[in-house]
Order: sequence, then structure tokens, then C-alpha cells
Amino acid sequence: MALPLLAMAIVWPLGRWPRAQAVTGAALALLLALWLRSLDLPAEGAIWPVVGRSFTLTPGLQPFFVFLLLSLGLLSLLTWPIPAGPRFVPVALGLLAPAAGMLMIRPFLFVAPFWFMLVIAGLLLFRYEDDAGMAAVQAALRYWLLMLVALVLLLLATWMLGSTQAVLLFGARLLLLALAIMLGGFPFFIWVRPLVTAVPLLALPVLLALLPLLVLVLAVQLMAAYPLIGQTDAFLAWLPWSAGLTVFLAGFLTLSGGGWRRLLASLVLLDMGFGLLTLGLVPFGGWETAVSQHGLRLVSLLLVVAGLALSEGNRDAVSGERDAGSGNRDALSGGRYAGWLLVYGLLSLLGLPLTPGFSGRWLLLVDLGRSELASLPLALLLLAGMGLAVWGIVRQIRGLAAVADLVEVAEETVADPDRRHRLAALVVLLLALVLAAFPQLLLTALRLVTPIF
Amino acid sequence: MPTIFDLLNQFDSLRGLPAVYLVLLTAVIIVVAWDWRLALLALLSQYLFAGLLFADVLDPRLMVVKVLNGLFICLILYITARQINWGRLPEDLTPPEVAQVEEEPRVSLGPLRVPVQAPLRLFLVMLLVLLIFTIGQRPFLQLPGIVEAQSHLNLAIFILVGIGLLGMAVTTAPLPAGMAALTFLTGFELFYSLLEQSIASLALLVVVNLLVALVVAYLMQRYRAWSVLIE
Repeated sequence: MALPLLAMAIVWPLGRWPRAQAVTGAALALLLALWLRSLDLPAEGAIWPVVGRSFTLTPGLQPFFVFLLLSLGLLSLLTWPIPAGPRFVPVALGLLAPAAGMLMIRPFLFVAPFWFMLVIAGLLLFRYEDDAGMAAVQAALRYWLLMLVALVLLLLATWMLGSTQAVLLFGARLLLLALAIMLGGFPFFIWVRPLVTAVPLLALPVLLALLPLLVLVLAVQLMAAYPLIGQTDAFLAWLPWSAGLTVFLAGFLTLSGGGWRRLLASLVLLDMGFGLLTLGLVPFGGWETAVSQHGLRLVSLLLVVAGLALSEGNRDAVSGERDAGSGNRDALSGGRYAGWLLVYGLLSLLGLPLTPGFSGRWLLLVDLGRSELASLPLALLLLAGMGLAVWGIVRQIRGLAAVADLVEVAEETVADPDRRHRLAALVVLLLALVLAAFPQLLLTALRLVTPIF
Repeated sequence: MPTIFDLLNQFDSLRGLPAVYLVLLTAVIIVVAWDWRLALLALLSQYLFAGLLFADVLDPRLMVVKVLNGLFICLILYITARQINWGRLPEDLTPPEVAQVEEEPRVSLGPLRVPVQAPLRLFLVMLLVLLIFTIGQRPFLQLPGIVEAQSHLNLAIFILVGIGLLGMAVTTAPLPAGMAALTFLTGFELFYSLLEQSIASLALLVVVNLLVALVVAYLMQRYRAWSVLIE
């Protein structure tokens, strides 16, 4: 837990030299991952008592933390081509300390403050400085207030779960409420869309894929400790509806237009709805599916981030503007491959066939069919949400088709688009196609982090 | 010098239901007041009156920790509010700069210039208070851990949590929203103190409260930063 903080202290002063910070951050994350992997843990795990509480690193958590470190290392390295501000790398590394504390501390009562520290660290990632500053403060405030409510519910729920049998059921319901807030489920999804438009691109995978994954692992730990949670009426009745309504609303919101960031925000929300649904599958043995779903969101978000960043960078190269924008501009103007990469990433986030995100969605549907959660109205809600989202993406692309023609002329007459951007977009696109063609590559990698229990 | 117990004896007439009403009054002011100085004063008073309620649940020596924590929080918020000129525009701004800043629209109510949202907030708070007093004492809404002699705590918890949540929902500026969040947390702490009275839990909640104050201060500084205000 202390080592990520040390890594954070090392990279923070390097903020003036972003490339040095990116490389140092990635190297430190890699070193930490290698060190963690080399630890030989006893079967019951290594236990560190601290002030009467205990922190336990189990052999199951070990690969999960290695995965987290490698993911953050990759994101740190990506700050070289995709600037994310001087705070991003140190905060991303520092996040690991409360994340580790949250998953390792026992009793569960003390999980909540670590979660709150994670949220506070997340607040440092918002873009307060640029022209979206006011919107960023509003988004950060909304996110923080909802997470504060989740903290309170989590504290109450963990106390009740650890006390008498009489309040166990009520504790389980409170826990579900807290999880719904933390995972952006209906009706608590209001923090998701503002957040997407208010943080740097690279912060999206951290806040919307890695943090929910941590919440999921925590939820599974709680369910393992208190099996009754997964059998409560709240899990069996309320959770699927919350997830289904989130998916449907997100699909509906894709039709509202407003640029790529807003479309991305709606699609992330849609995927979070599916993510919430996977939580209900955990009691039925769908733990691997749940992790796959969240892991593939990370991959899809990385594709979208690459597409948006390359589009913006390429457009700047063409127009001579160096002031990178928020992604609300026309992405296809950044070059054909970058535009395709962006659209492909969005389709992957939606979980359509022939994209890397499809395998997670397929596993989810198979598990859902086997579980007690499946019902015809839920299936209709999910289908309607997906259908609306497809239509939303098509509308966005159609709206830009005319622009693309103009841009081709502009590219020919003004300057050649940056070839490095074009090449990078092509390589990432091909890589994504390979991952879509061989889904077992990703699923096997994600399965390595699943034997937490 | 009077001890904690002497002080509690002095304020004995305020304990119980009077403390609940005083806490209610401060909570309403926090949500409705548009002058942040008044709202912060109300928050300070709320911590003092809530201390009387905590004395019904906790050892008085632990209750003092809660009150002192509240005073520290008010100090943090006071310094921040001073730094940002209590949310008002600095006097040295030029007219073109002032024109770029969108201030909350106001209406005239007699001699007062009241933000248009203030009457709405007051109406919502009154509605909520009415609801709490109507159904808050029903048996099915009795919180666990409260014995009959402490039934006023049930009311206080609903008031603080309910009005705090309402305040968080109706304000968009970090300081008023933060003060509402702290009101919500005080209500929760009161309830949690009934369930768990260990030193570790007390310390944990103190840390959470201080973190909340720091986050409010941080967001408030960002909210009134010139790069944000003048675009």
C-alpha cells in the first residue's frame, strides 16, 4: 500500500517533463507489478495487522493487483502521445494505495473510507483548468456528492452485515443501493454523463472501467463473506430492473446528439448498465463474466480514447491549431483511420458482433439465460436500449458523412494529415480487429485475474 | 474553569426536543440562506446544538470530539470562503470582465434582493419538514437502536439527513452543497453513534468529515477561479 504512494511521490515532481513522467510512471508500475508477482504468498494470504485491523493479501488478489498495475502503467505510458495533464500519472499510481486498502482490509466496516479516498483521488483527475472548467466543477461536485451518499450507505451496510442476523437483510438492501450508486445504475446514473465530458480522455478508463472493477471485486468479496446477500429480493428483483432501465435510458440518450463525447457518455452508461447486470450474475457463478465485461470496457474505452486523440491530433496537424479540444469537434475530420477507429471503439463499447466488446456481451447473455434474473420484459428493455444506441451511432456518422467529404478536400488543399497519426490509427485498428477475431486472447488474459476466490 | 459536565448541566434546558428544533432551524437556514456568511454561522451553530444530541448517545468526552471536529470544519470553510470573497465578485474587476460572469438572477422582495431559487428552496424545505413531522414518528419509521426515551433522536436524524439530502440536490455551488452534505453527515453520525460507539468508528467519521471539508474547499477554489469564471 505504501509503495504506490512512493511511486506517486517520485513522478509528481516530473510534471514539467510529461514524457519523462510518462516513462517513469510506466516503469515504476511495471517494477511494482514484477515485485508483486514475485511474492510467494501462503495459501491463506499474507496478513499485516495495523492498529487492530488486518490487511490480507491473498494469492487470489495478487494477479488482480498485477493487472491493475499493468493497466495503470499502460495508461501512464499513453500520456506521452495523449496529454492528460501533470496530475494524471501520479494520481493514477497513487490510486492503488486506497484501492489495495479497500480490498485487503478486514473487517469490512473500514472499506468505506478507502473507497472515499479513491473518489477524492478521482476528483483530482477532472479538467478544471481549460474552457470546460465550470462544467468540470459541476460534474465533480455531482460525482462526489453521490459517492458521499454511497459511502454512508456502505458504512451502514457493512456494519449491519457484520452484526446480528435481524438486520442482515436490510444491510444487503443498503449495500445494493450503494453499489447501484457506485456503478451508475438507474436511478443514480446522473453522475456518469457529466463525468465523461469533464475529464481528460485517459482518465475515462480509470474512472469508468478500473474503479467499477474494484467495486465489483469488493462486492464479490462481500458476497463470499455473506452469501445471503445474493439471495435477497433486492438482488433478484430490483437489480435487473435498475440495470435494464439504465441500458434503455442510455440507448435513448444516444439519440440526443451533441458530439462524440456525449455519444461516448451515453454508450459508457449503456455498458455500465450491462455491468450492473453482471453483478446479479455473481451469485449464480457469473464472476468471470462480470470481470470480462468490465475488462472489455477498459479495452473498448482505450480504442475510443485512441480514436478521439488521434482524430484531434490529426486535425490539429491539418489546421495548424495546437490547442487540443474536448472531443466535441468532428472526429472524422481528423483522418479516415482515426475516425474509423473511434467508430469501431464505440461499437465495441456497445458490444456489437465483430468487435472486441462482443465476447463480454455474449458471455453475459449466455449466463443471463441460465440465471433466475432473465425475463421477457428485461430482454425487451435491453434489446430496445441496444437498438436505440445503434441508431444513435448511425445518426452521428450520417451527420458527419457530409463533413467528411469537405475534409477530404481540405486535406488535399491545405496539407497532408500527419502520417504518424494515420499509421498509429491503422495499427491500433488492426490490433482491435485481431482481438475481435480471436476473443479468447482477451478472455484468457482476463480469466487470469479472476481466481480471486 | 467549567468542565464538560458543568457545561452540559448549564445547557440542560436545551437538551432533548429543544435541541432538535434548533438543529432544524440551522438546517433550514443552511439550505435556504443565499448569504454564505449566514449559512456558515448556521452550520457552526448546528454543530454546537448537535453536540447536545450527541450527549444523549455518547460519553460527553467523545461528544466534545464531535463538536471540536465541527468547529475545525467551520474554520476550514471560513478561510476558504474568505479567500473567495464569500462568493462575490472581486471589486477590482473591469466592467467587461463582470459582464462575462453569469451571476444567479435575483428578484426584489421588499428591501431584499433574493435569488430566484431561494423561495423555491424554502417551499421544498417546508414541504419536507411537514412530511418528516407527519410520518417521521410512525412506528415503521423507528430507527434501530433508539429506545423510547430517545425518540427525539429519531426526529433529529430524519431532519438532518432529509434536509441535507435536499440541500445537496438543489444547490450547484460547492460551498452550499458541501454544507448540506455536512448536515447530512451529522444526521448519519447521530444514527451511527447509536449503533457503533467504538473509538475507531469515531476516528473514522472524524477523518471522513475533515476530508469532506477539504474537498469542499478544493472545489470551491476551483469554482471561483478566474480561468473558470471568465471564459
